[in-house]
Amino acid sequence: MILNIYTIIMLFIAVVSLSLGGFLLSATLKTILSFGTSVSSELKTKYEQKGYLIFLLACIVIFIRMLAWPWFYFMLQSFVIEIPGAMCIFGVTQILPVTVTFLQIIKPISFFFMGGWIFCYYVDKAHPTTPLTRKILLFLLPLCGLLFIDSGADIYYILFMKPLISVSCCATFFDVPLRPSAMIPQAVFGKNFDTPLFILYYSINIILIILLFLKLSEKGKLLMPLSDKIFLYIQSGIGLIAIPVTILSFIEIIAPKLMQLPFHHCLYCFIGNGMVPDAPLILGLFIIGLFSIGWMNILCLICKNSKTPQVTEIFVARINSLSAFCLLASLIMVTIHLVLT
Amino acid sequence: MIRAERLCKTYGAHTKHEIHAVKEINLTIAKNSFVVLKGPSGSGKTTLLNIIGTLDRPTTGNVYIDGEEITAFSDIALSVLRRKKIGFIFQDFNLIPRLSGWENVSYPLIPMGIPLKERFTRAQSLLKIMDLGDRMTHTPEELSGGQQQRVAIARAMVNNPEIIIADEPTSNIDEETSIKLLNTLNELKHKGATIIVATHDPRFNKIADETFTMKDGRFQ
Repeated sequence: MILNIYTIIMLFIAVVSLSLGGFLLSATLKTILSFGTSVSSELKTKYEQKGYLIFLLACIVIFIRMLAWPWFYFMLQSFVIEIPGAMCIFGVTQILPVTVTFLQIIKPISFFFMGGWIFCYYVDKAHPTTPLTRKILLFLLPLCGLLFIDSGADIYYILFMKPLISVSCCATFFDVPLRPSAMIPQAVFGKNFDTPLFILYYSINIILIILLFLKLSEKGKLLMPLSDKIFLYIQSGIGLIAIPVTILSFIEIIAPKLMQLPFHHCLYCFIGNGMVPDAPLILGLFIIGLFSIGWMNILCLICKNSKTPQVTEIFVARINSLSAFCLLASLIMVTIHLVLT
Repeated sequence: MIRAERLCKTYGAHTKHEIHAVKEINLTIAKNSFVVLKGPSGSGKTTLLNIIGTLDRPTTGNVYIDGEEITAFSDIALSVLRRKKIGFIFQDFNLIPRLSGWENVSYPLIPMGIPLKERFTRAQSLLKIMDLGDRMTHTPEELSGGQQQRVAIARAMVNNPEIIIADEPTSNIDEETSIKLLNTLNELKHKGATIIVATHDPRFNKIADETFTMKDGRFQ
C-alpha cells in the first residue's frame, strides 16, 4: 500500500460509500417491499418521508462516487514518483494491471449511470405528483451493485498496490513506430492515416454539435422535421462513433501535437504531466458532452410516463444544451491549441 | 374551483380506536365565495378543512383545486401550493413565540425568496390595516388574544392567497375583534379571495354565500 493523502481520501471515500451503500440498499429494498406498486393517498406522506431520506442518502453516495472517478486519476498520478521506472500514470497501470484496467472501465460506467439516475430523480422531483418514485427506487438497486463493485475494487487496489517492481516508461509502449496495440489504426489506414482521422474527428464532432444545436432551436426543428426519438437516436449513433474517433485522434494526432512531442502518443502524459494544463478540462468537457447524450436516452427510457412528458422534455432540452456547450467548448479549446502550437 | 369527491378520513384504521372523522363528503366551492362549515364539536369540520387546505391527506377520495388533483401531489408540491395559494387562520393563532409581529407576518415570504425590505414593507402595510401599526415589534406574548388573531390574519394575507381557510377564528377573541375579523374576511372576499370558515359563530351565516352543516362526519 502506498500511503499518501490521495490514497487516504480514496480509501475514505470507498469505505464511506461502501457502508452508506449497504444502508442505502437495505433501505431501498425495505421501502420497495413494504409499499405496493400504487401507494394510497394517506400513505403517500409516509412513503415520501422514507423516500426522502433514501434519495438524500443516494444523492450523497452517488455524488461521492462520481467524484471518485477524477480522484482515481489524481491518486494514480501521485503514485508516479513512488514507482521505480514510472514516468506517468502508464507506469502505475503496470502494477496490478487487471485491477487498474477494471477500475478504468467500471468508473466511467458508474459515473454514467449515476449521472443518469440523478437526472431521473430531478425529473421526478420536478413533477408535483412524483410519479416515477418507484421506478427510481428500482433503478437504485443496480446502482448499489455498481457502487459495491467500484468501491470494493478501489479498496482492493489501494490495499494491494505495492511499488516493489520496476516498470517501463510509456515511451516504450506508445512511441514504437509500428505499435502492436489494437488501438492503433495504422494497420487499417496505412501510414498516412492521420489526415483522414483528423478530418473524421472534426466532421463527426461538428455534425454532432450542429445536431445538438438544431434540436435546441425552433428553426432547427423545422429544418429536420424528425420525431424527438429519431433525432435522439441519430445523435446517439453519431455520439457512439465519436467515442473511438476522438480517442484515436487524441492518441495519434492531438496529444503529440499539443505536447509538442511528435512521437509521443501517451494520453496519460497528455492529461497528467502538465504540458497541456487544460488537457483534463478538454477531455472532461468531451466526456460530459457525450455522456449527456446517453443521459438523454436514460431519461427518455425511464421517465417515459404519461404524466411527465413536459417535465422530461424540459430536462432533456437542458441536458441537450449542456451536451452542445461541452462538446463545442472542447472542440474550440482543441482548435485554439492546435492553431497556437 | 375547489372540488372534493367522496372524501373519507379514518383515524386509527383497523384498530379498536378507529374513528371515521369524515365520511363520503362531496363538495364544490366556487371561486370567490364565502363558505361556512357549521356543526358541533367532533363533527369533522377541522378534518375537512385540513384536507381541503392540504394540511392532511384523506384516507380515500380526491380533492381538486383549479382542476388539479392535489391529493396525488407530493408533500413538496403541496407545500408550494399552500405557499402560493392558501392562507390559514387558526383557532389558537399558531404564531411563532420568539418572533415579533412583523416577523411573524412576513415569515411565509421567506421561502418565496422575497427580499427583507419587501417583506418588511408588506408586513408593515398589513399590520397597519389591522390597526397594529404600533405593535410591529411586539412578540405574541406582549399582545392580547385579539391582537394575536389580527397578526395571524395579516400573516394569512401576506402571500395574497386565492383561498383563506379559517378554523374557529373567533373562538378565542372578544366581541369587538370578532366583528372586525368578520369585516376583514368579507373585504377579502370582495377583493377576490375564496373564504372557507369552520365556526360555531352564527354571525358568519349572514355573510356566507353557502353554509354546510356537518354531523358525524357527513353533511346534513
